[in-house]
Amino acid sequence: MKRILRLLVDVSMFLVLFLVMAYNFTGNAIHEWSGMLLSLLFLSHLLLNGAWLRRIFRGHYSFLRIVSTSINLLLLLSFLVVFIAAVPISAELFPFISFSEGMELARIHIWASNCLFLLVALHGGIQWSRFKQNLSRKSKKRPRSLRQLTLIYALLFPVLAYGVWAFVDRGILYKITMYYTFDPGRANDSFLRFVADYLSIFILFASLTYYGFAWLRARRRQN
Amino acid sequence: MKKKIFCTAFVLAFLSASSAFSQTPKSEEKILIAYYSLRNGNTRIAAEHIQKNVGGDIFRIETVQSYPSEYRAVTAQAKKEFDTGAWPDLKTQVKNFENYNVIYLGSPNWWGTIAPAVMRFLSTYDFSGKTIIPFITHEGSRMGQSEADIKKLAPKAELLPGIAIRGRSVNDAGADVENWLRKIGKLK
Repeated sequence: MKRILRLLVDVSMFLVLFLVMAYNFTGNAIHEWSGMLLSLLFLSHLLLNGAWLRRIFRGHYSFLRIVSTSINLLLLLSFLVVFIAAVPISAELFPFISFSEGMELARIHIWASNCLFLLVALHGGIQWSRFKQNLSRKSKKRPRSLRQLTLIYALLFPVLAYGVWAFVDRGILYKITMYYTFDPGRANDSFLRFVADYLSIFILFASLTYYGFAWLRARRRQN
Repeated sequence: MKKKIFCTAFVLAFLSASSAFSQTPKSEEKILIAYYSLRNGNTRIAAEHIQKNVGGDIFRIETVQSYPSEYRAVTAQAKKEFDTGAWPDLKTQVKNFENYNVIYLGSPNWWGTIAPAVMRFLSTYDFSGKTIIPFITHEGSRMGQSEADIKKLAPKAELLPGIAIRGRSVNDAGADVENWLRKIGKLK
């Protein structure tokens, strides 16, 4: 069923995204193959959500729809930049294509991939409610109890705080402005630490759009 | 008697004031600025910034075989050299290395540390009793493990705090280099 396929593709994309970003742990070959896998998953995602593409020029654009569509388009654009910059510097999948300014392309590739990561997180936050709905066929929209909310926020806030710290520590701002390209020297970076850092940054940005959109919608309903 | 005291005080004041304004290095230092640079670019400019401040002799570390010109080929070869320990042979030699006691050692940051050519350089000469002061050009990875690796290869040398300079802004790094030299006490 399309719903299950969508779920599988989305979850796989999320996992492969982290795999592809773990370049320093996997080495170049796995990085390139995961990148290719991610590209195919992304293509499937676009095909499965073709309705969105078809409706892009139709209907009224509210503020939220403008934001959401812009994020999606920037995501698509950054993905294209990541892919196109990757091909001439590829050692595993496209070794026959070369380019003299390889270092510059590597810089662009890393810059665009950091932008892509953040945009995926923002997109994830916007789509989270739809994703949750997709998970269960029952369309129950039971509001959460106070106890449930307290538990969620008690778990979320430390993660958000850690996300802010990781954002600074990993120099993400430097990377998305192309001031720095490579990771600050870390002698003992572990894969676990890497996942914790980037997962919390992901949750931070996803929460921004998830709660941001929810708050704006609630405000609009009030007026 | 009063005149003598005044003159001595004046001379001492003048000497201490002039040393506050002068930028001469400590006179007993014999300085070598050895650097490695793939295309004799950024790291060379950093070396020149240092020389402008402390003088000394600049020496370019060069490999017998040049690295490939293509980015991914260079990085792949460098990785292999790191993994196997097969550092490249060096083309040139420092004349009278024993006479130098302070060596500023420059390298680009490759795979998080000093370039294999610099590792070869460190294992070629005897650094015991000498002072090594690293300067690293980078694009985000800063010092990386370079200080630890220098310590490993020259354990009997004194290692002073190095400076990491972003490669793309090395031309404007003169002031940063000067501040760093002053901070580590190499400039009066």
